[in-house]
Amino acid sequence: MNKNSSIVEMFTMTLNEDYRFPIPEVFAFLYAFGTFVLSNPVSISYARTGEHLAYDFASSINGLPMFFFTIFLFKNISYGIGYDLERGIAQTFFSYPLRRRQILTIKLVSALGLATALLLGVHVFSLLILVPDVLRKYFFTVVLTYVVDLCFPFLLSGFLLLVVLVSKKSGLSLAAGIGAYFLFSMLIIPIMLSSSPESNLGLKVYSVFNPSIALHMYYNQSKSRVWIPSFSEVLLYVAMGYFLVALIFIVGYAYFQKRLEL
Amino acid sequence: MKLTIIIGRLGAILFMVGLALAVAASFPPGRIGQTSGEEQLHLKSFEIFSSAPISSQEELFVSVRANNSVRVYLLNVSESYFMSWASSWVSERFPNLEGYEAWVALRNITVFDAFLENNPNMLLWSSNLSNVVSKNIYFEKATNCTVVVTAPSEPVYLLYELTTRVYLVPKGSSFKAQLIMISSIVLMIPWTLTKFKELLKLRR
Repeated sequence: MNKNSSIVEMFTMTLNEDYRFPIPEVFAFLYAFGTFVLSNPVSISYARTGEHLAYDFASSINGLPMFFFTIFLFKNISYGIGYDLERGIAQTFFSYPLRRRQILTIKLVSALGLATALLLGVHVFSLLILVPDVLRKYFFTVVLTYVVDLCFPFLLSGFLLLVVLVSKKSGLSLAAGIGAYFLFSMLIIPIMLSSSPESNLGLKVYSVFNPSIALHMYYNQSKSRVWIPSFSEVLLYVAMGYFLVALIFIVGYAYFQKRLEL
Repeated sequence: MKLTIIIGRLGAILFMVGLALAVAASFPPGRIGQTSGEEQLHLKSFEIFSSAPISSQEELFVSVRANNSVRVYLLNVSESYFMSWASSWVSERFPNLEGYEAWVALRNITVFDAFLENNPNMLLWSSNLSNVVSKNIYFEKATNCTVVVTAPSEPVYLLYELTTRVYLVPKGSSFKAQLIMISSIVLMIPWTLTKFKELLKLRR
């Protein structure tokens, strides 16, 4: 078996495992319905115009769709990777003529890449039904909002990957991921309550992990009295957020290549 | 074979998006705003009753009942734009008017007619001259909607009601949902047939 056919075969197997019928279909329904529920004139003010309105629509991904997406990612990582390690199925993969990092890349492309493509595809399609002109006119704002909003779930996925690799237990890692997700999501409430224009360090630190807060503050300057970041500051927080994402995945790769014992 | 599976699964995903749209479209509208009241209009004057952006997911219901004939207009313009246009129009023609006189002149029907004459594309709808006007308005695109009532022939005492209802998805989405679902079923047919054949083979 040559390398290319090994890649194709393993990718097909991983896809079959991660995207069993009707799991992606159910999630597609939840993403679309979540978008329709959150993109209405009650949640979004049409008094806002231009890129602010585009941001409001694009950031509707951040509510219910993002919650379902995070659960989907967690399921893919903890069961797609964790279950294979737990049951020793990963041994079969290591018998393929592939490097360990290639195996992990295949797993992650399936678990993260396709799940992200599904979320973005459904969300863009839903917005095309709701506000096609806004999406076309402010495409850059929409793309930026997606990039920023996806940082936090990717970071949590990286954390989950580390837990999976270290513990080799799918259930435990899933519980740890969900726990971390809720803990981080709820942490913003006390941080917001304790922040003021003079003391907003907590909010800035939180934005490193979840840059969507910085972007939200930037696009809601009339409401956000605590902290009004500039656009370049927002980009800086996005860069820092993705740096952390890259770092956590590099650690995951290094562990998978060098330290992981089956 | 693999292409059939990919297209079929994409079709199934598309079907679910269509289903989500159909479910969202089946929800009844919710009332998010209602204003009602009474107003007196002088002869040959006009009044702005509401000015707000209306999205494609909203429906505006306008009802006016008057003791004399009125005409109701819907304009695709914001109140601030209209008023600044009217102010400059009045100050150009009557530069000496000040205070109350300027305010009265600003609400003269001549100003409104001049606006319509200069901006005919901003008129969305107008009623006939009548004592009772009621209209449900829905726009396919987000629109700045300003409701104006004029008293062209007599002074008027009127009762008005403006209600905004909101839908989860734009009106007409159920048709779009049906289209999406039908086309996705077409995509799913080869995959479903393959699955069905496999099932039959297994049973034998």
